[in-house]
Amino acid sequence: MKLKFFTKLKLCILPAAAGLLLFYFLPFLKVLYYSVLKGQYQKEFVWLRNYKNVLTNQYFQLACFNTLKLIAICVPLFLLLAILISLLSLYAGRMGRFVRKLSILPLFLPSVSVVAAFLLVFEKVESELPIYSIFLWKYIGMGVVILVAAFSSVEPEIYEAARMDGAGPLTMHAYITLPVCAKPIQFTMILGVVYCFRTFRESYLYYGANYPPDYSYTLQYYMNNQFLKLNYQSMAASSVMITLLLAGFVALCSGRKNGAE
Amino acid sequence: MAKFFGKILIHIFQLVIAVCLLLPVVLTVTKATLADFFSVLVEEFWFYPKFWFSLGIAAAIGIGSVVVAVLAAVGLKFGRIKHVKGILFVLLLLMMMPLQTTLLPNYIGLRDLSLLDKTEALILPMLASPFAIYLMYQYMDSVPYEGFEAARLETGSVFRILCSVILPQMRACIAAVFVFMFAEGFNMVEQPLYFVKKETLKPLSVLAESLTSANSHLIFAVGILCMIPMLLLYGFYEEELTEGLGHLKA
Amino acid sequence: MNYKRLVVFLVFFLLFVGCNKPQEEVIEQKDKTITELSIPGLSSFCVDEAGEFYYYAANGDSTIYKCAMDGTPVAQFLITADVEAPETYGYYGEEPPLSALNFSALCMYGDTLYFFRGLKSSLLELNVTTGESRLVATLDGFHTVLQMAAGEHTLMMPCFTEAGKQFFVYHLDTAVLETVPVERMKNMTHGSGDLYWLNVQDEDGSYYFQEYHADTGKLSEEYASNFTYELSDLVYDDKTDLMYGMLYSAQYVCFHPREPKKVSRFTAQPVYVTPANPQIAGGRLYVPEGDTDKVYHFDTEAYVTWNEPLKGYVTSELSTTEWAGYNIDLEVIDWEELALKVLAEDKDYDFVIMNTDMAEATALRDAMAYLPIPAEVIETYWAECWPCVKQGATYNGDIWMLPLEAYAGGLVYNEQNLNKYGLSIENIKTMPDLCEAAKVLHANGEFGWYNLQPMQGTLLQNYLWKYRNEDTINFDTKEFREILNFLYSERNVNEDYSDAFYRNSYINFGRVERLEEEESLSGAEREASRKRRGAARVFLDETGARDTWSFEKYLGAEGIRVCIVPGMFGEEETVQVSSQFLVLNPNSENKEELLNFVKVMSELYIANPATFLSSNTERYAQDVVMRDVCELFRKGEMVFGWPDGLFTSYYLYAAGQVTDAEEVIKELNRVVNMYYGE
Repeated sequence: MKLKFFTKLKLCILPAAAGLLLFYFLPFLKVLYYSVLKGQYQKEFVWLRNYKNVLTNQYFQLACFNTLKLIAICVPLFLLLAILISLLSLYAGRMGRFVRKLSILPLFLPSVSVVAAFLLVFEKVESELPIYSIFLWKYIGMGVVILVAAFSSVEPEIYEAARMDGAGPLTMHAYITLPVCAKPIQFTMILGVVYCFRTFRESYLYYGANYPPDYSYTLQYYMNNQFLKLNYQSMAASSVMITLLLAGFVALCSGRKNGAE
Repeated sequence: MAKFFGKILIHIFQLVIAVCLLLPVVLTVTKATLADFFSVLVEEFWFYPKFWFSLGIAAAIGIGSVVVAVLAAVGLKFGRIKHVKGILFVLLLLMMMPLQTTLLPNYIGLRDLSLLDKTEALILPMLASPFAIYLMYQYMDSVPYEGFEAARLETGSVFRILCSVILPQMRACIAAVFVFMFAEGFNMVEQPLYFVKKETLKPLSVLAESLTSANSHLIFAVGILCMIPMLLLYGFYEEELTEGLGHLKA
Repeated sequence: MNYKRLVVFLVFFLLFVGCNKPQEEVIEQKDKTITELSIPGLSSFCVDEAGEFYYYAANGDSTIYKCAMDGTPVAQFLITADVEAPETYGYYGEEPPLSALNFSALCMYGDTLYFFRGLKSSLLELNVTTGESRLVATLDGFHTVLQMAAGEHTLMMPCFTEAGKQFFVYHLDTAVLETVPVERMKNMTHGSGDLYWLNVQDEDGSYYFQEYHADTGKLSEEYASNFTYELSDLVYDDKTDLMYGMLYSAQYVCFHPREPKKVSRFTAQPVYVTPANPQIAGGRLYVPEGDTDKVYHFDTEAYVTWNEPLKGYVTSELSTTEWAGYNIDLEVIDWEELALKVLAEDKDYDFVIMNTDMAEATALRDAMAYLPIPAEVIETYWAECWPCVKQGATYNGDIWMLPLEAYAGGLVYNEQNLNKYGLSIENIKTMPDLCEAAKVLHANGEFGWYNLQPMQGTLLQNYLWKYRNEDTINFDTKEFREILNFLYSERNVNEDYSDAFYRNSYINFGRVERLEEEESLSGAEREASRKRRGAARVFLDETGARDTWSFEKYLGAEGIRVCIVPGMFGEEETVQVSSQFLVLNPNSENKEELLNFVKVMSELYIANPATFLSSNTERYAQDVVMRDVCELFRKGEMVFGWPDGLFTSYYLYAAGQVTDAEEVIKELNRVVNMYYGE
């Protein structure tokens, strides 16, 4: 069957589309369906009642607050630290290269092994600091790799031109590097949010319980506990809400980037 | 003078960072005694099969997701598809969806396809990775359209164009995606816990579950051993990785 | 095509098929009697293939006896084949022990009987038709041979060597002795010819079965099972391809070794010592009971039900022992896996067995993830059980679970012993009173210490029970503070008593010295006597509300009574009853068979007084203790448990590891309200 060339090209997306559909879209639709039911074994539609229940639940609100706090504090820190480390490592020659190689190390260590070490270091600390530290420590490598690659691919001529105009290193980086690498920086920020959600694994291992201290009680704890109580409806409703929130967040970022351009 | 001083500061900063990064690693290493390594590598016969199995799955995921991502990126970039920006937005969104959201429906889906408790259950869901596709597309954006046009004049076969023109330029990105997906596959925890029940099919990352309390000290040794393939991989491909990720621009 | 003919043919075909409606099966009641053979001085026992005669060796003599099934002796064979062989067994003292003198490990193939004598390490054989015996070999270094199995040209022998239990194959033709090349082998039995079945444990602890051709050394594939406990000695019937064994000391298992997941479990004759060398002949299973000179045998067909295999999940394999012989694929599962399956509405399992102690039971019930049991199916059961059991099993008008065994905690005391020191149960109204009584006993040199652990559990449960109908539970009350103070003072002020035992003599029941009169009794009677003497030493035996414990040990002892465990403040506490139960999967594909199973199980369990389900007092032993226990259940209410880890701070406080009571109260309030409020 002779297909037109561009049709063949269009068909190339098929495997990816099939996979995304099967394992991301369809499941999300299913979750949406489950979120408007009364129960897994009581298939009546109660529409938005589950959402109301979840939103008015004080522990969901606590979990939301904690998660937002985590994102609001950790992601900028993550970004800042990543920028600092990558930028400075480019100046530090051999040591810089060493630090870059080192930074990726924590990402590849299985959480189980490391949580024990962190438990030792943060034994008496009664705040969310240990979890923030674990997050930063483990995932900074990814940010560093992406940003180093981005920074090192800026054409050196631009810097030459700027230096001839008399710009110092600080101004150069603030006005050239950062704007030029806006896209990778935005991507790193999004990655930061993704990893924020992944810290549930480490947090769970760290506290070893389904009900951690109040300051560490994030959305996934809420969702996991609902799951264990067989209350899938609350879990589905909160999942849908998170996804919509994230969609808004991404839209905001892309919008701002488009505006800046 | 200021420059010299600045350089020292920079080096000190790097040193501090290095120490912070290393500290937990060192703590972990010190807890793994030589005897532990010996017992894991020589005595406990579960380690090698699990190790190679984990490696196998991670490699399969790496290669599979690269193939899928390359095809998707080619299709998106050159296939004259409308609303590419919209698709990219959706990809970003999918990347951010936490795993727990889709856990139950994926379980049901796999069960209805009777893929549960098989290796495919661990590999298939990871093949279409939004991260990989997004990255590949961004990189492919830097491939000049002219090369593609020229190749198109030569042949009508997509496969040939792919192999001769596009792939050689994408080497960096392919390496990058492979390394990241390999890391994901090697470290995944939730999927094996929920989709697979047979002990033999559980990779190393779910070790905490299967190690009895008598053997819990082995966790540290196993952790170090897990790090090694990743380190090697990263060591070999660092250049490609850096280049690949540098092209994350419009 | 001639359509008309096709239609006619179809019509006839359908009519024909419709005629073969399955008729009501008339189930013959098979004979379930368990026959007992008593053989004084029995050391090893063997049945012939047809089940007509049995052979045994007895203490101290070199004779093999042959008897008919009813016990009449038929023949005796004096074995002289190893008389000249030297003794290889080193022993201290004047006489060699009977275990070395005796013939052991009797096994038979065709008409040849093989056995072993530890004293001379001699492997002997006897041809029962001709009466000829000979020394097959002297096995150097072998002193103890366990259950042996005989094949056509080989023998398989498990022995204890320095390296532990090892399995050897002896080739009769070539006189070669070799080890079986399988690691972690636990058990074996003869299959047919030279094929043996092996039971091996995997690296991760699970068991599988494998065929081993001893003549060629070939191993078959591994057949994985779901057993989490080791099986006793096994026996295989090659006419029916069924393997029999015992799991722990009460549960018999029967399965096809190539499909070891589908197991029929039943209890027929409980044996106190795990049996060695069971045998099967003519469909009857012969179970020698070690130590008592008895052999029991029964018709396996009467106990095993061949139904459509059902699949069930259980939290622990041995939690339920009675299965009515049903063929079940039982798997041990933990809650996260089960929750996923329940939420995903999986069809592949039929039932789940859980305990009301688990908080997850309420989750299952509230999510309505059960198949309601129609009341007609469990008529006898429902008519007889305690009100508390009925109340726990009802939800929204449905019978959502079938309780299998009920537990209630009580205080066991010996009235006479208490009165000896001027104490009376009437005056022990609160937990502090209990401790004071124990102190009095202790001061008088009796077993009067008490253990804080069960007490702290009971106090907490009582507090939670009191406020169970509220929206949240508040721990910031005077009452709770009093409880914490009490625990603190008992641990820190009354140091003599903390961590010691007044849960006293029941732990001595087993260690009570054997008296001569007891020696002369056997088996169950000896046990009874041992219990009686132990019970006589009980003063106070406070048992936590959730422990599984058996009252049987107190039956027939003098002066023992049971009452409700006193609470902290002396008000009339309700007895909190928990139970193990069966829940049906609403998405099961074998609903009919499942309901049949429920019916059989309900009748089995209500008839067994040890499950404490029935309110019919005639079922229970006519004993004061039993009457008191029944009172407990009559006053009781079924209680569902709490998740693990919710009350860790309380238990840490009670154990003395946390000393700030206010912290405990704050933490408990936080966590419990989180559990309620999520």
